[in-house]
Amino acid sequence: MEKERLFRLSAKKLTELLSKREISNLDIVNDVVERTQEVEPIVKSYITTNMHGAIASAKKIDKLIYKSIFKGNKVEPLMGIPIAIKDNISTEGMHTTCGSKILAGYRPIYNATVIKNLKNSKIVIMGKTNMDEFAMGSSTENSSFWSTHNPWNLSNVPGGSSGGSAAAVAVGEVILALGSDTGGSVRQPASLCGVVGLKPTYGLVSRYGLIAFASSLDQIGPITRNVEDCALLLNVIAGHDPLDSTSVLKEKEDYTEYLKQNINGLKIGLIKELMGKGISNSVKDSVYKAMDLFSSLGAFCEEVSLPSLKFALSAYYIIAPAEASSNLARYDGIRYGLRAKRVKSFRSMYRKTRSKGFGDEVKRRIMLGTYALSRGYYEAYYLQAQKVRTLIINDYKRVFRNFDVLISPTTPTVAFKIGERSEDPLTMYLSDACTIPVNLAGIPAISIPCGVDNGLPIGLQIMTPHFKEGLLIKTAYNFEKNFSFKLKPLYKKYRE
Amino acid sequence: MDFEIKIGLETHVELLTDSKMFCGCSTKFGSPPNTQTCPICLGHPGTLPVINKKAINYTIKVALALNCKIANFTQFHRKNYFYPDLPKGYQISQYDLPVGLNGYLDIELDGNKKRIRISRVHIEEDTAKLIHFGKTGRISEAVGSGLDFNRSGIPLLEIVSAPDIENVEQAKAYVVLLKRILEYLEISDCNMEEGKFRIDTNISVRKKEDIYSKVRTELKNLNSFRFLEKGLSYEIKRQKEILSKGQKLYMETRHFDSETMTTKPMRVKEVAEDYRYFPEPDLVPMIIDKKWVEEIKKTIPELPYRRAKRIKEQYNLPNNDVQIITSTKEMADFFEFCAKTYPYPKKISNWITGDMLYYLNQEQIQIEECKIKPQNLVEMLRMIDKGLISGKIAKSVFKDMFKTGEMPETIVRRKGLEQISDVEKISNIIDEVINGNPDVVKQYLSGKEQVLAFFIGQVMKKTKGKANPRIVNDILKKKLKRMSF
Amino acid sequence: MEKISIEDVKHVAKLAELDLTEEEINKFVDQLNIVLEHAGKISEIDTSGVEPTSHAIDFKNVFRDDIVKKSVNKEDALSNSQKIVQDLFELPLMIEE
Ligand SMILES: [Zn+2]
Repeated sequence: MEKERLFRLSAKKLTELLSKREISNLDIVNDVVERTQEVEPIVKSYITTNMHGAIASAKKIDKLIYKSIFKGNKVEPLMGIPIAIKDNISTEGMHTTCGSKILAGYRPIYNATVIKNLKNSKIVIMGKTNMDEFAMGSSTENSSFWSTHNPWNLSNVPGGSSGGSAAAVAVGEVILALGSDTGGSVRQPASLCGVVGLKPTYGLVSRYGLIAFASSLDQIGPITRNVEDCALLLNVIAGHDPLDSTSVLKEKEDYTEYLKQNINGLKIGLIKELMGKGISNSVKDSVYKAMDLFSSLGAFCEEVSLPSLKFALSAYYIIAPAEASSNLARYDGIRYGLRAKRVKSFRSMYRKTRSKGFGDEVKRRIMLGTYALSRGYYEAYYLQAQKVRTLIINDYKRVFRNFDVLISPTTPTVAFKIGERSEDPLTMYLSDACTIPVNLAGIPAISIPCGVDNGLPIGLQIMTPHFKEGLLIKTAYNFEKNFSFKLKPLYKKYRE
Repeated sequence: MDFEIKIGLETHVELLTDSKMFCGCSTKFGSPPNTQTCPICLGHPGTLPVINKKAINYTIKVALALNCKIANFTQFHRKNYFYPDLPKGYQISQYDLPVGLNGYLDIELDGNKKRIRISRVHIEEDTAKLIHFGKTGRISEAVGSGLDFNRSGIPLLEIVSAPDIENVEQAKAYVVLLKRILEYLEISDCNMEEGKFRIDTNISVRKKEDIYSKVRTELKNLNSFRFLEKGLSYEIKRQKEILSKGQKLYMETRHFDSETMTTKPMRVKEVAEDYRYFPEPDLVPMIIDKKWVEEIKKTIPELPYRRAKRIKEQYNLPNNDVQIITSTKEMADFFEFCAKTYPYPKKISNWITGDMLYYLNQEQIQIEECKIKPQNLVEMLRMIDKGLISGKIAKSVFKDMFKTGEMPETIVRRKGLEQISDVEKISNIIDEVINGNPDVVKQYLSGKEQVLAFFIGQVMKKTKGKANPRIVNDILKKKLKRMSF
Repeated sequence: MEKISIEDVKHVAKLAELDLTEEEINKFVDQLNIVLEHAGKISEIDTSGVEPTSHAIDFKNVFRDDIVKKSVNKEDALSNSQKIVQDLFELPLMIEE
């Protein structure tokens, strides 16, 4: 009989075992390393692994845990728990590529604020995960290194752009992960991999050290296997940061407090516009069933309309590329990253470096964004998109007067086949239709598993007003508790 | 042919904050290359800017001093363009919502006042410094170049005038006054050699009848008053010549070459640049309310033209003296400090505009760097008034004070320069001189009164110049008069 | 909205400092037109009287005090660059071709 593998356990459970001294931190890290060696050649979640560093950290933490228990103290939450970091989050001295050739070899000279927070909590970093180049994509196929495979079905995509993080968590290469979400990049891969992904309110988690895609939309968020671990990780990364001017001054909350509450009397609205054309029947079914489950738990559920959401995708594909075109201007070959050789002048250095370093999708979005900002088009595209954004925000404000939370599918379909949409940008863009409005409005949202279709998971998206992450976690936790979902990839052996 | 000339000036001023505009790096000048940098001012991926509040305060201060309206709502924009000295590929600058709008500056030339409108005062970040290797250090002859990011991100103020300037003299008067105001405000040291005060110009010359012509030339690299004068004069002459020949001018950017004292084309602008400005999403808007503006108002000292007017009236000084005294804030402070404790302002002014200015120029230093403090000068003036030293001795005392910074009394005592006003002592010396020169006495008595000067000279010689000349004169005349009977 | 042309794509590539092959240019003309046709739908919306939003959260007046912090050391600043000369980031010839 196989011994009970630690990689399958939740962070909460592992902390219990550590507290009782039934296992050591090194046991946890060793098991996760072993699992990574088993599945990484097939799933390919990581760009860079930090196995030796992680083992060294675990040994140090074991001493701290021993001292702590000796003094009669508890083991702090998430202490010693392995985490994977999306490769667009700056880690000092550790290779950080953003999934791009243009940053091949780049070793940041500073840590992102979230990384400092993780280190303060003694969370163990296992490595940097694969992603669509500069977070532009919904399948992780746009990584300039390799594609990551969905652990539920290896010929399917894990979603994106945080596909590496979601796949690693789903398959048990790690217990926790961080992703980033600009138009759905945490929630969409979480949905396609059957795990939990949360995009916090814009401004709740510091962006300092997150390599920018679209500055007014980007947020770092946790990817975990259950809602409780998600709350624990959010506790660590949320909070004001003086290095980020868009970080909110707000008292810290303990999000695990909300796990104790029920949802009796909660008013839930199902967004009509996100249940229409393009949403597969199996996804619709699962969402309606979720609605029934909520009702059975004492919530009032109703359909609600936000007409402006029809235009969200259009506005997003102006705003995000426009900001990206400017954010990606710094990759010039001078101070870091790739630099083209044998150039005649500084202009040819720019052009050769950038043309060689950026992939197709990144070039496409730089072109789109540059065009949208250029003379004569700024008003029609960028400014108009910012006005549409106002309308979307107002729509959410209006419905949140009558509803506590909103729900929708996270993605229109389950995970698609690798290669299926890579030559068709617009269809690829449409896979973010349900998640994008949330980023434009800056509100928080979580994706949790709510069904399986043809062996592939389906995700439910829950949304609340700004800074109501507690309510979000409470709602998701009540659903999770009452919905039986088994994360199958954890038990797969992946052997021929 | 009649020409109309319009000149607009764009002035960039590095602010005197301790840290940079968006990061905590020092702004100190002259450190070894790339030692005052961090991930933020190097434009590393993932970094974010945070606004230095003092830089905004300084911007408001300048905008107020230049009579601008202060924007209630203001924000930063990104100005997107590629150049190696710009680490992020965009400059964080201001666009349609600058801190200050629609101000003016009144310049005076030969007693005539002229108002130059100020279009805008805004704040942005400075670029890195390009260093060219080669014999001349010039870009055109460089064999290679490198980048030093110490300057990258230093707060940079931009002051843009309307094209109200009509000639070189006005341009110079504008720049001199603007620089003096900025120095008065103590927001920049305006050191032109260190590139902390830089001037770009827009010049358009057109035939009077050609009212629709909008062609203008940008002229860069005018980094001293002399180059400003030479560059503008050359450019105006060049444009007039072209128009006189019936040829056309076109939009271009020209560079002033300080070796040949001419201007050379940098690039022809076929298409106007497209900077793709949009609101900087990493920063948030600023609301400047009345209370904030009032707080800044309180920090503005009396500005030069106001002060000049007051000093002229209050102390009843001639124009020339007022101009010199108010040429810097420190000199005016020096004067007024003396005037507070000494009742004869003209006497103070005489020494400042005379000996003081002479030695300052000789040593090439500013009044605040010299060793004489206001109380030293006041003390010396009092000693003259009391007859303790003569005016002539005072000049040498002043020279010593300038060198050593000692109090005048100390110098006088050390060198034994006290004036001899003791009547008996002087009388004895006069007796010696009269007795020793009977021939000259005879000449005097025969009516040749000019020889009196000879006697005075002899007395001074014997007292090493310390005898009080008024007393010598009196006693000498009395004694000689007595002898004639 | 008007269609994006080959000339537009070339102009935009120049602004963005990208060297595109003929093949890429043709591909981008088609793809950008498809995306812009979709994105262009926003022009159908009446937004008169609507203020643009640049951040979903209403932030105002975020500043730092003018306090000097330690800079990174020179070696770190230069560590990621491919070419260094005399403690400076080396550049190719600074001429406009
Ligand atoms: Zn810095």
